[in-house]
Amino acid sequence: MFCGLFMHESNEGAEISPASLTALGDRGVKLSLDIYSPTIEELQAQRTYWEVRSTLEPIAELLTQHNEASPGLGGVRFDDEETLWAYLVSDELWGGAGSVADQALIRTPEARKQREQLLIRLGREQMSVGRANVRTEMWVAAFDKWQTEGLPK
Amino acid sequence: MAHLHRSVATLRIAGDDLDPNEISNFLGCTPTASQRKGDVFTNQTSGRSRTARSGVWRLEASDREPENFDAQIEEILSKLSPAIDVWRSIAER
Repeated sequence: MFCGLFMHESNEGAEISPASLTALGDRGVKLSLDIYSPTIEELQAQRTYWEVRSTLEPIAELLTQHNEASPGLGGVRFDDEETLWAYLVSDELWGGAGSVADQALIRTPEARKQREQLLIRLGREQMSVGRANVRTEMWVAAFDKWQTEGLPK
Repeated sequence: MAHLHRSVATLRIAGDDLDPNEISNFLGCTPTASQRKGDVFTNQTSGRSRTARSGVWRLEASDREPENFDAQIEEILSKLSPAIDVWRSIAER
């Protein structure tokens, strides 16, 4: 019995039941295992997922702490890449008036600065893999400028 | 530790004097693919030919994502004769 195992991450496991092993043994069938590591593309996608997830989670915590929770963000399941990416490219996060990028934490300077640093990191990661909102680049450039020069008067 | 992402499983019986029809009769199932030693195959794309160096009888299970070897082994064995002596006679050749 030839079995091929395709890994997605660096540490994955599998089990074979005693019943299966007995069934093979009783029949004199040898079990062969070929194990394939993730591809470069899969490893890159995995790194990107963890990077965006670990940046968006503190943004969500920050918004909640300051009672400015983003409705769409509340519905994001961080362990589900599909809903996570749907939110990451949304206008609710990166859009114009009313978006998280536009006005969240605007009345709390320290939290606003922290939010901007996280959004810069998040935006750069999204742009590096070509999965950003049309306004992400504009917001990242603005936040970069405000971090060094302060908010426009 | 995460569960393995995907698994494939194939029962593969090979031998120089293997007769695929004989294995099919013994096990009561037609294979996914088979060949006899000396069979010549021509690649449709490249046009190159290759000669089988041994006889092979293969039965594949459907891929599982995430991995599920138990289900794949069960899928394959459930299609085949349960008579242990038949299996042993094949394994001992």
